[in-house]
Amino acid sequence: MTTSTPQTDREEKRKAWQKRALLLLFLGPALILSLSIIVYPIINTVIRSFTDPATGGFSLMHYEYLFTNRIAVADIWYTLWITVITVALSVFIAYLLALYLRFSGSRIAKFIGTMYLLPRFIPGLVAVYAMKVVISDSGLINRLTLLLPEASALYNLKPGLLFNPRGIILMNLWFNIPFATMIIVAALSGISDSIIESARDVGAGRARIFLQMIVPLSIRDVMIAMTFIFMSNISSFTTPYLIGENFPQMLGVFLRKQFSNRAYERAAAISVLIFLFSSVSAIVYIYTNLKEKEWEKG
Amino acid sequence: MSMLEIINMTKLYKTGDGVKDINLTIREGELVTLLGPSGCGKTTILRTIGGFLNVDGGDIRIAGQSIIHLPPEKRPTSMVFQAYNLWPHMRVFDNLEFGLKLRKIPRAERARRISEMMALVKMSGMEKKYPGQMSGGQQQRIAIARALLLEPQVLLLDEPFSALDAKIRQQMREELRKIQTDLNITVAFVTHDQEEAMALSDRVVVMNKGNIEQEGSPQDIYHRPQSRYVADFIGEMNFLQMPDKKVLAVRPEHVEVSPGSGGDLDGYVRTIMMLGHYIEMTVDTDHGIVKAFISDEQAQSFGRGDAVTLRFGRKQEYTTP
Amino acid sequence: MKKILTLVLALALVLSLGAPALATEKPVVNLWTTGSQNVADLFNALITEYNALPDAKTEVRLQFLLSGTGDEGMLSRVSSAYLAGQKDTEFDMMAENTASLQSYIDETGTEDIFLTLDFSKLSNYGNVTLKPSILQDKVVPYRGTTVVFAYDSARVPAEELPHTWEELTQWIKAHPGRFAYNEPTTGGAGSAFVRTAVYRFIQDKSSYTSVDPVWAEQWDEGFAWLADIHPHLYKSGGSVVYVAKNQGTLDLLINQEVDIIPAWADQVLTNVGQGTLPETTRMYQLDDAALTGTDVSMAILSIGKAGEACYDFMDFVISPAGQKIALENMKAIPVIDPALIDSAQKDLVADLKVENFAFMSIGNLGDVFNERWNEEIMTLK
Repeated sequence: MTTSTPQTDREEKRKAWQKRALLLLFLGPALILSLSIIVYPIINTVIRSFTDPATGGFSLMHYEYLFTNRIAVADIWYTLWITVITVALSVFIAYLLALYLRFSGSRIAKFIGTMYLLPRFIPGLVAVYAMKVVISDSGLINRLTLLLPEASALYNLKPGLLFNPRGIILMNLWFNIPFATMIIVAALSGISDSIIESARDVGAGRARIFLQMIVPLSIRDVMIAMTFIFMSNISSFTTPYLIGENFPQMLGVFLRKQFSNRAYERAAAISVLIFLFSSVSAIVYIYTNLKEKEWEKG
Repeated sequence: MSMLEIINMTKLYKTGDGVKDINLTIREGELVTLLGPSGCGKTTILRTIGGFLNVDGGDIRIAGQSIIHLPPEKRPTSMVFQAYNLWPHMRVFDNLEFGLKLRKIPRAERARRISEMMALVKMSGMEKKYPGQMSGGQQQRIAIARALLLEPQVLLLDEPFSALDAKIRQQMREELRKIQTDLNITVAFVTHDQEEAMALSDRVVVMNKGNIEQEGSPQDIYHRPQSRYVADFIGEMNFLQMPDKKVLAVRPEHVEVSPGSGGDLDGYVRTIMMLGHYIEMTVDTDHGIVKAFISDEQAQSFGRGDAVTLRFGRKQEYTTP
Repeated sequence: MKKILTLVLALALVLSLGAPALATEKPVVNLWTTGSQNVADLFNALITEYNALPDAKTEVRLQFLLSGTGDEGMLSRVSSAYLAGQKDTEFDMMAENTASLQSYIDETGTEDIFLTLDFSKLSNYGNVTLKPSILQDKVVPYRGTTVVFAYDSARVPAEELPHTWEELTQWIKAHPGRFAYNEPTTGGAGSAFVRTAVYRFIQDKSSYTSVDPVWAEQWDEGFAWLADIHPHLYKSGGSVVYVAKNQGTLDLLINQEVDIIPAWADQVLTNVGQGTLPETTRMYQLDDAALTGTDVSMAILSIGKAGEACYDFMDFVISPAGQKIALENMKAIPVIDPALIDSAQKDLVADLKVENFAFMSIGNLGDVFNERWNEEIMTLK
C-alpha cells in the first residue's frame, strides 16, 4: 500500500473487523463446547483430586496413595511400560510396512495397501472379543493344534497370551499399526521418487538412502504417530479390562475399580495423573508440529 | 571417439509401451538431444542409461564398457531431473558434498571443488541456503552443479528447465551450453521443446512412438526433415495437398509473396499479422491456407483480399500412405 | 411474508389442539434399573406387554444404566436430588436388588426416600411367597436371584463332587487350574463367593446383614483360605487369573477351561437355554454355607412425579403373567408359587428354593472388603 487516505484506512479497519467477527462465528461453537465439556470437567477433576472425601477440605492423600501404595505404584509403572512397548513396536512394524507399501509396486503391496486400514473399521469391543476367541488357551489356535498328531510338539498348544501383558500388547498392535502405517505411508508418499533416485545417482546405497534421506524426511510424522499412540494407549480401558491380568493393571482399569468402590476422589487423582502423562506427549506433539523447521520456511 | 553407445536396446513396459531396437551413439563432448512429445520414449532411453530402468535387450556402453548390469550408483553417469532434485532437508553445501563424501574425497578438496563449482554456476554465497529458500532456477543450477561435481562421463538431463519461466529457461540454456563446451562434457538431454533442442544441441534425435524418426544436426533436422512427422514437429511448416497423394511442405520463411499471378501458386491475402521483428501473412489458395513470413516494407504494399502469387524456395515432398 | 404468517398460525393451532390431547394421555412412569443386558431385556419385555394392555393405567418407560457405564452415579444422583429437596422428578420407581435399595437409605440417612407401600393396592401381593429380607414395608420383590456353583455333570463325576467347603478345598487342590471365580469388583458371582467364603468363618450370622466395621476383624481366617486356594485356581500364561465379569467365568466353563465356577443361577440357565452350555450343566449349593442370593425388588421413590401411579405396573410384574415373562425371559426365580405360572420352563428353577437364600448386606463394609481382596489376594503371584 503506497497511498493511504483516511477513507481507505477506514475501509481497511472495517474489513479487519468483519474478518474477526467471521472468525469468532466459526470458532465460537467449538470454543464454547470445549470450555463446557473439556475445560470445566478438567478443573472439576483437579479440584476433586485434592479433596478429602471425609472433610471436604484440601488434602494430598490421594496423590500420596498413588505414589506410595504398592498396587498403585506397580500399576503406574506397568501402564507406562505397556504403553512405551506398544508405541515402539507399533511404529517399528508400521514403518516397515509403510516402506514396503511405498516402495514396492507388487500386486501384494497394492492389495495390502487397500486392506491395511480394515482393522480401523472394526469396533473395538468386537475386535477384543475376536482376539480372545483366537488366542485364549482353548481358542482357535489351540483347536487348530489339536488337529495335529498327538506326538507333535505343537499338539494342544496353549498360547498363554490371554490375561497378561503379551495379550494387551498384541491387541494394541492390532489397533495401532494401521493408524501408524496410515500416517507414515502419507509421509513417505510425500518423498518424491527423484529425491531417492538422485541420491542413488550420486552413489548412495540403500542403507544410506534410508538413513540420510527417508528417515530425516519422515521423522516428524513418525513422532506425530508416536504421540498419538502414546496418548490413546496410556488411558486405554477395554483391552486391559478384558485381556489384562488382575495385578498389575493398567491405569484405566485401576481407575474403574476406584469408581466401583466409590472412591471418586482417588479416581480423580488417577485421571489427573493420566492427563499429565498425556500432556507430556501432547507437548511433544505440539512442539514437533508447530516448530517450523528451517528448511521448510519459504 | 564415441563415449556412449546404445546398441539394439529394447525396453518394454507391461502395458506394451516402451522403446525397441534403439541404436544411438554420442561422441565425447557432444550434446545430443532426445526430442519428442510425451510418451515417445525419450525419457525411457535416458532412464535406461542412468540405470533407473533395466533393459530387456541390447546393450549400453560407456567408453566401450557395458553398463547395463550396474546399478545407478555404480554408473559413470549423473542425472538431473525435471524437479525435486535437491534434498530438502540439506543445505546447498551438504547437497553438493554428499556425493563427494561417498567418494571419500578429503574435506579440503571437497570444499575447494564445491566453491569452484558454485562459481561456475554463478551461485557463490548461497552455500548455507536450504533448497526451499531458493527459486526454481537457482535449485536447478545447484542440481546441475551437483551432477557436474561428480565428473560423470555422461551427463543426463531430463527436461531440467521445463518447470521454469520462459525467460529463466532461455538464460539457463545459454549457460548450460557454455559450461558444456567449456568443460567438454558429453550430454544426453531430453526435452519436448523443439526450440530448446535447436538452440542447445550438436545433434538432435527426433523420436516418435518408441522409434527414432530422424537424427542429425539442428540444420539437417530443420531443413531436411525426412518425414512428414519430423517436418510437422520441428518449426512451422505449410503442407499443401497435391495430386497423386503427394504433399508439398514449405516453411513460411521460404514462401516468397508478390502481386499478381504466374508463380508456383496463386491466391488472395487472408490476414496480415504483426509478430515483432517479422510479419506473418496467410494466403487463401486452392490447396489450402499458406503461411508466409514477410518483411515490414513488403507488408506495406499488401492489403486484405489482394490477389498474390507465391513462389517456393526450399521445399520438401512427401507421399501420404 | 404472508405465507410464513399462515404457517406460524397453522403451527400454533396444531400445537394448541395437541397439548390438551397429550394431557389426557396416561401418566408416565419412569422405571430406573441397572445391571447386565439381561435386566434390560427383561424389563423391555415386561413393559412392552404391560403398555399394550388395554386397562393399563400408566405408560412405563425404561431408564436403564448398563453395569459399569455410569450406574455408580445413580446413587449420588438420586440421593442429591432428594437431599436438595427436589419434588416431581423423573425418578419415579426403581428395580434393584434389595441390598442396593438399602444403600439409598444409607446415603440419604432416611427411609423417606421411598414411599411406604399400601399393599392393599397390589391385588397380586397375596401370592408373593418371597418376602423381602429387609425394608419389608418399602419394597416389593419381583424375582429372586442367587449365586450357585455350576458344573458340567458330564465332566465332574457325582462321586467326586464336593459338598462342603472342606471338600471344595480338597477338590480345588486336587484339580489345579479347574476352578475359577471372577474378580469380585466386576461381578456379583465372584463377590458372593469371596464374601461367603470369608463370612462362613464368623459364628454370629447377624454379621451377614451388618455394616458395623467390627466384623472386619474376623475376616482373617477367610482371607487366609482365599490365599490358600489361590495357586490352584485357573491359570493363563502361567499365572493365576481372576477374569473380569460374571460372563468371564461362564466363558471359561463354556470353553471347558474350568470345571466348577460360582455363577448367577439365571445366567447359567440362560446359557443352557441358548445351547452355549450343555444340557448336562448342573447347579447346586454346598451344604454348610450357601452362596448368597437376594430378592430383587421394586420401590417407589418419594421424589418422583408419578408416585402412587406406579402401583399398577408393580401389580402387573408380580401377577402370574408378569412372573411368566420373568421366568421365560430371564430364567428368574419367581416370587410366587411356580404352580400358578403357566409355563413349561418352571421345572428349571424348581430346585432353587427361595427360602434357602443366604442374604447378605454389608453396605460400605463391602468397599473395605474389596480393598482388602485387592491388596491381599489380587497381588499374589
